[in-house]
Amino acid sequence: MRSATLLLWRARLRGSLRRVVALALLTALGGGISLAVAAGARRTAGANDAVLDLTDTPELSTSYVPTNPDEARELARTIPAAGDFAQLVGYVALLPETPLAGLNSAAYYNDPVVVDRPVVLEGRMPDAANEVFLNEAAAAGTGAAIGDEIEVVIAKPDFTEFFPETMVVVGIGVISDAIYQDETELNALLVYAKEFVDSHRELNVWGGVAMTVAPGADRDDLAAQMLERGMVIDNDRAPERAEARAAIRPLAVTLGVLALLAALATIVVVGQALHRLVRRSPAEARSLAATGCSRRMLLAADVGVAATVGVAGTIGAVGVAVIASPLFPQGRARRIPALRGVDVDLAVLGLGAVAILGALTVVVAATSRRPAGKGEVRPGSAPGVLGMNPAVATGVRFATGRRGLPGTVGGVAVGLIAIVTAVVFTGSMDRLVSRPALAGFNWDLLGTNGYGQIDTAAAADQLRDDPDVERITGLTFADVTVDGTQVPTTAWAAIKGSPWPPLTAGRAPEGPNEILLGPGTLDTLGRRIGDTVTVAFNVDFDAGKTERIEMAVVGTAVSPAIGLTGTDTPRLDVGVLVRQDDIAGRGFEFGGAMLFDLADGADPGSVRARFPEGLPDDIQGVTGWFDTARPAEVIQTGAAVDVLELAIVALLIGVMATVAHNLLGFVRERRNAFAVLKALGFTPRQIRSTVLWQSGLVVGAALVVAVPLGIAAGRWLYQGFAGGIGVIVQPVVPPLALAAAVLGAMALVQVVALLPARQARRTDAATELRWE
Amino acid sequence: MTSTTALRVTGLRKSYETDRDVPVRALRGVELEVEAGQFLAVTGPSGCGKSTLLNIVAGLEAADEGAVSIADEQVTGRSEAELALLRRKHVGMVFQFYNLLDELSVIENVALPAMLGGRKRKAAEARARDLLGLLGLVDRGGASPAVLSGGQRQRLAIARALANDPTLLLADEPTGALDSDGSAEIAELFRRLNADGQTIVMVTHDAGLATIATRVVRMADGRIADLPPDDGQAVADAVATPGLS
Repeated sequence: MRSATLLLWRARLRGSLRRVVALALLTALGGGISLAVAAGARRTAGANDAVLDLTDTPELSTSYVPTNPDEARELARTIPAAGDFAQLVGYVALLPETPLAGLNSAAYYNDPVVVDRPVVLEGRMPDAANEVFLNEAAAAGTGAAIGDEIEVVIAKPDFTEFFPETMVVVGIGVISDAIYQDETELNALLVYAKEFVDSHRELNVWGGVAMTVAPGADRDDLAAQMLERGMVIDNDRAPERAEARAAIRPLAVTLGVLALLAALATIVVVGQALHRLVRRSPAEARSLAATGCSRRMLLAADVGVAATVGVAGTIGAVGVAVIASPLFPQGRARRIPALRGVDVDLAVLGLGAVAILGALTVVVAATSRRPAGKGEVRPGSAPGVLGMNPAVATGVRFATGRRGLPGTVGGVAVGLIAIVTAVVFTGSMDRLVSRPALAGFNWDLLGTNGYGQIDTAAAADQLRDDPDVERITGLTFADVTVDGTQVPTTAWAAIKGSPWPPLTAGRAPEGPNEILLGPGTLDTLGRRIGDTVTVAFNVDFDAGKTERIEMAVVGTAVSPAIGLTGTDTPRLDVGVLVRQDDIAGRGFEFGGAMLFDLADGADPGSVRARFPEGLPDDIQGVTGWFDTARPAEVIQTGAAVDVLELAIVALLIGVMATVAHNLLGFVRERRNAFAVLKALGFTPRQIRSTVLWQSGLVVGAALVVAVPLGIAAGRWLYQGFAGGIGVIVQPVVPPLALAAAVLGAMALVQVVALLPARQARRTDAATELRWE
Repeated sequence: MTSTTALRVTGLRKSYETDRDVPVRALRGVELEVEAGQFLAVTGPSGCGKSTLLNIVAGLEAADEGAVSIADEQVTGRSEAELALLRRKHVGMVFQFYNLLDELSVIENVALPAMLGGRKRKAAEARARDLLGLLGLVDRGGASPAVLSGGQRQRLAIARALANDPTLLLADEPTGALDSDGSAEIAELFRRLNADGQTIVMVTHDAGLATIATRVVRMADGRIADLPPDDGQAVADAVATPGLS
């Protein structure tokens, strides 16, 4: 019995070798896309952790150490729970004649650096006192390349003396923080060699130590021992990891959903094609039964054929996924060369391959019991079709006159749904990236002085009467608790026009003691708009003295991600937004920023130019200027648009290949019908037209289903994504991209249908009509 | 040539290549002339070239040599598109296994060639209804061809073949798939059509059917010879005896 089953299996394979190969290729393509995107989603999700591991990011770090590097080192060595550590020595540095501000400048006092290593993208780390390493922001700001000389001015801590240095750029790279920082936190950074410290004694302004945990100890031990020595913890690896994961998770989840859609489309379309491949005509089924073949044997042979296609296809899919793996990870971690390149995710590829193979086998096993019968072909159901051109009418009838039409249309529709979903999602992401207001930044220019308190009145005086400046907003940060929960807070001063970022509900505060909350904070606090909350301002930070005020929540708003190094500031859907008038005199404010909303077409550069020395403040701080304030999540999102567009094209190719395969199968099955059409007087052009109309109708019907469902799915997916990262949820249906996808699908199907149309035209009518 | 000649075949030759590199000469210089209104039965053993002749006449197959004309229009030497137009105008075909389009309803199967022949939709449907009425299928117009009996299907195929009032009705073993009742039904139908003036060229193995023709020719070894139409025994012998020359 087994040999008979094998004989049936071999006979079916031999008789349909080209179709088997085509189906295996389709499985490889569709399955490959889904496996590649699924593995890519996992790789993307883990990329930030990979960067932290790659750079040996410290567990905890502090800048509360003596400025004398030798004393700081000795102090660090007294901590039993500390493992390896990086020691940083900071300097005040200026880069004249560059637009850079907010510059960090430090030397590693370790050689070699074993903790918190920068990732070198080009060149190397500095070895000599006159060598410098730039992060990407510094390289972009200076325009320097490896080997270039730049002038760095090192300031004495009291700013009484300045020492110009000519330094050689020996390396350009990334500090691990840059992977998950917001745009406003991405400061330029210069890194010097240990030798620099020796030749610039007494110029260093701060010291810092970043430590790993010693074997046998844990993070809490380390934290406790640091605090015992007066070391306030500046950076904590665990929450930073969580922050990095949160920033990238929505993108990874989205990629995962797209991978599932691609896999579903592959299983549906290939499963259908496999069903058509293995099904038998009633005559064949009767003949096989007459020769003693049991239904079980036939089923085993059918499943064997499906398994053959599945095995070959999934092997190919794994190959495609491995080849496509360098497209991932997406997001900013992609900057790191060590994380790019070919990757084999055995778990995803293995499980995915088994899932695809199993699904195809089950589909065939479930459907192969139904033999092809008289009912396979029936009169088409389109009414009034004969009023059309005969070729059109026949094409319509051929498309509709099949029992399997809903399945065929459904299979193509699933693929097209995935495409439309990706188009809507990508379009919405693109809009998010291009419209900073959706991430809370509804201005055109931001100037931030870090911890300096900006003299907003003096700054505004220079711009108040400028018709190009429509809104001027002052911003400070504060520490408050709301109903006993500490929440990062911003205080907004209306210098000209409305001071508020985009509201998502309610209204803007109009009088005293009215506040806005981020939507996420509102949820966390379990409050609603209209509720009254108790806000406690820190009046005396050191004494822990607070002033409590009852304030009314009048609305929710999305805060721009304006960072302040080492401080938790409101961003996106988290935070409290108060009127500056409400906090003045009540609470401790710190930091400073000004925001300018300009008339359409006005140049932010002209506003910047009014402040050649930066925005005036109390500490003569330097001003960092930003035209946008993109949060890390949006930066990550923007980086993924290209790969999503690539996935759309790949899916489109897959769907069209499926349509072509279906049509070829149809033409092969219905050679007789095309021969009849020839005999009736159809010209070759009409035969071609019939096939093109048939394919166009299938794809058109699939589009009718796929466009609304794809739009709904894309909007749903994006809503989940945008809600997850806390930006304003505003999915869009990009009309041009959608029209391009729809028209592209219709045009492509006409192209791919030319091959089956050619085969139909070449039907040998004389042979086909002679005998069945 | 006169205007009453429906079909003229001269010096028709056709060979097929085979796997053994030995060409099979299906037609070896066939000469045939069919007058308008004639009912010609072409008999002969299997493989003698009957169907090949019919296919070349219909323009579905190209001849190696010779000429075919229908109602003074050359068939041979034309492009595929020109042949398609010629078929619409001059040729109706009936096959042993009906070759209906199951995706189309009964009435649509008949109306489609009428539309190809240039009729508007309503005119084509009216023509189809007339023909279905003539052939006793008018009440099955909306049905699928797949649900019809063998005889009904063949009647439908004949209705389809007549949709454009063809110069020639070509029939290839039209009763080959039917039982005796069905065969008799189709034979009577052909006789009636011919009586109404339809020129018919029919290939058949069925001696009974051949005897209703007004002229019978026998094909053997790729050549044609006339038989007396009223000599039933001669026809029966010609059908039954392979290789008779």
